[in-house]
Amino acid sequence: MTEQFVEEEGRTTEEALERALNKIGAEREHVRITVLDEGKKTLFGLISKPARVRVSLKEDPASTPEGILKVLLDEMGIKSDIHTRATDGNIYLTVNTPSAGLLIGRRGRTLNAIQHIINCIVNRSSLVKRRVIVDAEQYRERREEILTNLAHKLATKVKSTGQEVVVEPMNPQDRRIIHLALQDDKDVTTFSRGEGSFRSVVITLKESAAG
Amino acid sequence: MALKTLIEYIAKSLVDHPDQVDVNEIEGEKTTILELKVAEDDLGKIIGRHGRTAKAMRTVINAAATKESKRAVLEILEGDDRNNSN
Repeated sequence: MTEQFVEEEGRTTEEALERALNKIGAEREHVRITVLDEGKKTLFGLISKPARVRVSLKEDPASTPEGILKVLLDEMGIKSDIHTRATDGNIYLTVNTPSAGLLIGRRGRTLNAIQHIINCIVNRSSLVKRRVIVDAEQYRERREEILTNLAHKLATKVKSTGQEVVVEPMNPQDRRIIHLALQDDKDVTTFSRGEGSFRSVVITLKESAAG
Repeated sequence: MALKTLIEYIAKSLVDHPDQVDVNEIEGEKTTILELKVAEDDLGKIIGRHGRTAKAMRTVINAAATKESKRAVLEILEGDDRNNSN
C-alpha cells in the first residue's frame, strides 16, 4: 500500500503541523509526524527559512482486517487470539479460540460467513482489493485434505462403474478443491452443474476413455 | 451477548451512510428478532450479490445466538418507507 502524506510549511513547526493536519483532515493522534526542517529565525523574528513537516495517516488499528475480526468475535462472545500473515495480496487471519466449533460452524458455514463480511468491509472503500482468508484450527487445510481424498475415492468409483458421480452441492472454494484434485487424472474429468447454492461438481469419464 | 451491537457494527461498517443505520431488537423467549434499517441506497450493500451478505449476517447472528440456545432472525427494512405508493 502506498502511504498517504502531506507536507506543509510554516513559521514554526507547530504552525506547519497545524496546516498539514487541516489539509489531511485528521487529528494529531491519527497521524505520524516527521519534522523535515525546524526552520531558522533571525534575531528580529524575521524568517530566513520556514519550518517543514510531513504528516502521514496512521492505519487505524480498528480498521485493519485483524481489528475488524477481533470486534466481530468479541461481539459474538467468542474469545480469540488472532495472528495475521500477509502474502501476495492475500491476508491470512488465523484464530486461536476455545470455541473453534462454534466459530467454524457446520461445514465451515460460520467461518465462511465471517470471512465474507470481513472481505466486504475491507474492500468497501479501497480501490486495491485485498482478499482476506479467515481460518481456525487449520480448518481450511483439513477441509482440503478431506475433499481431496473424497475426490480420489469418487474418481475410482467412476472408473469402475463408468457412470458419472454428482458430488453434493458445495461453495466455490470447496468445488475448486475437487476440480484441482482431479485435474491431472487421465481417465476422469470434472465440471460444475446447477445454480447458486445447488451448484455441484460432476465427475465423469473422459470421452476418450469412455469411447 | 449483544446481537444488536453486533449487527449495528457490521451494518455501519458496510454502508455509505452509517448515521442512518438503526437496529431494533425484539427479544422473545426462544427467538430474538432484529430489525435492521438502512438508507435506501445502502440496501444493496447490506443484501449483497444474490443475498450473500444478508445470508452471512444471518449465519453470524445465529452462531452468536446458539451460544445462548436461542435463534435469531434478521429482518432488513428500508429506512424511509414514506414513498411506498408509487
